[in-house]
Amino acid sequence: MLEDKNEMIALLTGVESSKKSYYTELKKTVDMLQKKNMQLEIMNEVMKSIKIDMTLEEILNNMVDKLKNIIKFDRLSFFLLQNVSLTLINVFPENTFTIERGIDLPRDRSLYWMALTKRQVMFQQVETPTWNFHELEFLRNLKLTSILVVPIYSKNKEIGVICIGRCFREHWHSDDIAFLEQLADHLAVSIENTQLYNEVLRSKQEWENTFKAVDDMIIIFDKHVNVIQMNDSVRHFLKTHHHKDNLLLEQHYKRLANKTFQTEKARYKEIHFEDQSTFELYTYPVYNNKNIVNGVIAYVKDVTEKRKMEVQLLHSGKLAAIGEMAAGVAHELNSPLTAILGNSQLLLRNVKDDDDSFTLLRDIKTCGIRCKDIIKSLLAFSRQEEYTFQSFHINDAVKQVLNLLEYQLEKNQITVITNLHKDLPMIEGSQQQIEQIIINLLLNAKDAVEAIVKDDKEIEIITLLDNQAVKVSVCDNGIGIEQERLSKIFHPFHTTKEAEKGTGLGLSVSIGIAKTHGGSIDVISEVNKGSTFQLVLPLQPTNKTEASV
Amino acid sequence: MNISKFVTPEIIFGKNSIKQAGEACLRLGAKKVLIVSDQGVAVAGWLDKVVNLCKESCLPFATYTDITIDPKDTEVINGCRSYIENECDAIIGVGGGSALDVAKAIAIVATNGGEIKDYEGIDKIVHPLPPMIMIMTTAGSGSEVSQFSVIVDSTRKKKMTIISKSLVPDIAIIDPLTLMTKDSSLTAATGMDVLTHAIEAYVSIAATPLTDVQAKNALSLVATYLRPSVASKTNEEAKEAMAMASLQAGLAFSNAILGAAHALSHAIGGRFPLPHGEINAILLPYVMDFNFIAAPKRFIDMADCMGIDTRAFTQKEAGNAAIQYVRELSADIGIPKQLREVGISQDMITSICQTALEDACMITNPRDMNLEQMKQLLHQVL
Repeated sequence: MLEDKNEMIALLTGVESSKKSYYTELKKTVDMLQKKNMQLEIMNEVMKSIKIDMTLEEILNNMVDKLKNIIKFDRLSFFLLQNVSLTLINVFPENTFTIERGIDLPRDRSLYWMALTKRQVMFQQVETPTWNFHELEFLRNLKLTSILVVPIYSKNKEIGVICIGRCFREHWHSDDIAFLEQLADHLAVSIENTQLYNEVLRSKQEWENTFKAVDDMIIIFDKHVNVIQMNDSVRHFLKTHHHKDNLLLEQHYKRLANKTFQTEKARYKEIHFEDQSTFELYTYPVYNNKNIVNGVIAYVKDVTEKRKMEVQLLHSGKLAAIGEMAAGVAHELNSPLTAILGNSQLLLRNVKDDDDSFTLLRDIKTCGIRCKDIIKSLLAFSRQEEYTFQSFHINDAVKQVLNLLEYQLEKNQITVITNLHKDLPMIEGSQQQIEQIIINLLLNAKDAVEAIVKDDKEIEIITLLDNQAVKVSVCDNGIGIEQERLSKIFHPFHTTKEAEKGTGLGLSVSIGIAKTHGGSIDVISEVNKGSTFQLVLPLQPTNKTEASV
Repeated sequence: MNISKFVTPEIIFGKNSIKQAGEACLRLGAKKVLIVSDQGVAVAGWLDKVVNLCKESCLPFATYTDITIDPKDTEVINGCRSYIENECDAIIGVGGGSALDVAKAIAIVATNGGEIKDYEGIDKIVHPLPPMIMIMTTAGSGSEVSQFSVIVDSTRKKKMTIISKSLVPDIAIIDPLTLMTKDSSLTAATGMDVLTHAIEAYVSIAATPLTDVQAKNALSLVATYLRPSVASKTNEEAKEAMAMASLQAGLAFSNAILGAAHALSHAIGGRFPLPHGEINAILLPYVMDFNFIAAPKRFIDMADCMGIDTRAFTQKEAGNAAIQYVRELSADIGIPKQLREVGISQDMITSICQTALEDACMITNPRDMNLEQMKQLLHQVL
């Protein structure tokens, strides 16, 4: 009682109390402001990391450095929810790793998981825990006395946890916990943003890579039909093609894109360039999220090869049919011819040279042999086998063709002059295919001379060696070709003949074959004077590709 | 109690020292000051005086004067509002105990928030108070130097005693010339308050050598100069002496605390708007009589201070002489003798005593007092 009284007196006289000083108040305020400042700085730092490209590690390092100044702790670890596992990302200080970085935390009996799933700050005294959670053991090994687990989550997903441990026994201030929760909110935004940003970046990258990787040309237009993007193929085309072709391309895609923009429908157009290449141009409308066309995509595909292939397929398909028929006819004719030849020979034996019928029989025999030769050539030409490259003499090919066509030409009063060089080297290639070219050229020459009224219809075939190449020229004195049409004659289906007489495929197929032999076909022509088609086959093909059908 | 402490503000004492008010405020760093005073002081012209001093010092100010005797918590709230609305950062109190106690209470609520009753008791103030300058004009309460503020809780009808070192003003200005406007009855009542402060502080069990010096000197001054002071408004010597007596008694009781007379006086004052000094004066002889056996030696000292020759007296005779002296002084200056004369009746005794027993002043009363003893004492006073 006396003590109580003395205590009261001490209070009354103020032995243990002093007038409150503004200095101490100010110090408290300044300390508080400094802490608040630091808190703001940390928040700011975390938020800033959204804008600038910062890795998660950098964000964390920055944060921990500053956090140390305002909240006392001995260890901080950071776990991130990746897919469905909680993974250790980093630990501060570095030397307090208890489990390896990147290791997942088991969900069972986990305090950390609990904080995350309940979205609640978890606090445990390590010495006197309220339950036996999984992490207890390694927290004890770290000699921590208390642990605070702060969940990081956004509105629609859990992101991770920050675990802060203390070795010393000190009360956790509610202000600090509130701040940590706030910090976790900011981190959530920051991390979610980073993740989203990376995702967007990745899909954009993927799209761009795809866009770039496409071999065909893709051009993207905005709503004013200005080009806003084009892939590398377009640039390549523009770089490697003639200015005239570039203009042609631009003209076409602009026109078509405009049409698509106006009609809101996909469009198609085929473009033929100077260099004999053929491109397909497609334009498609691009809709925005309001279903309004706000752009156009043009897709340009080089179909030169494809066309060629198609033509060749078509042509060889036809030839195959003709060949098959010819082979059938030849076989059918062979038997009667054998009879004719055999019988005429038998008869000839018994007829004297001066007999009236001798000349007749000899003519029968000669014509029979000639028929046999034609049939033989026909069979050889139409042989149903793959075209294989082998050595052959160009003159043989020319003779073989003439065997087939000479009669037809002479029947039409066309004089065929052959001027074959005797000392030509053998060439590598498919004789049948080369013969096909010569047939095509001869048939064209025949049509050319027939189309003109003239007494001396002439076709001259010349073989020669020039500049390391074997050349076969087919010259006619027919109607010739107009200058402006010269560039188009090799296009598939280009023809001046009536439908039943020509397909427009001959020359395009021929040039295709010439190219597979590394060669080319040159044309010189003058209207009403005639044309010269020259097949050039280099001895050492430079650009030889696989022999194709 | 081996360790003691003595708290005091800066004290500016002397004729015309009131002129220091504005400059003193500026020295404390005030930008705008709230001048707290009451109507009586305003009528006497002291408020205008202080206002003009602030103007001379180019110190912006606001005034608050809605204060009654035994000031209420509501008056504190209004004053506090005025302080905040006018964006003041310092307080000048001008007047007697009421004005100064309200000035202190405003300072508490303005910086610590809440209501004044939150701070009733000892050491409840958390944050520092704004600079306070107290100009005493009554020579009685000692509030200009004390760590006390007494405010009436209007709902509980109780005088709340707020005690805190933070309530010790920064500067106390005691200008004896301000006492010359008081009428004789107020001079008498406040003078008896000074006497009560001195006597209770001297016999307090928290008294220390430092407080004893102040208490004894105050006692001598009152004994010599209270009568002349009551007698004449213009007796400068008496006024100066009473001003010093009030200051020293204030320093003494602020550090040594009081006793039963004040405990009872607070309990009565909460119920009846009676002059605090008068109630103290009526109660004092009876309380002294009761306390005598607790500190007979101190009673002899007090009799000596009153100028009584005690050399031939026994302890009891000396004590009785001191008590008798107080009675005679009261009678000389026209203080009522019995409580019934001021309107207190029999049926109020129990509740008054219950309140008084809880008063902080009871702790330092030299003789333990139970409810019965207190009731018996009050019966005598009636």
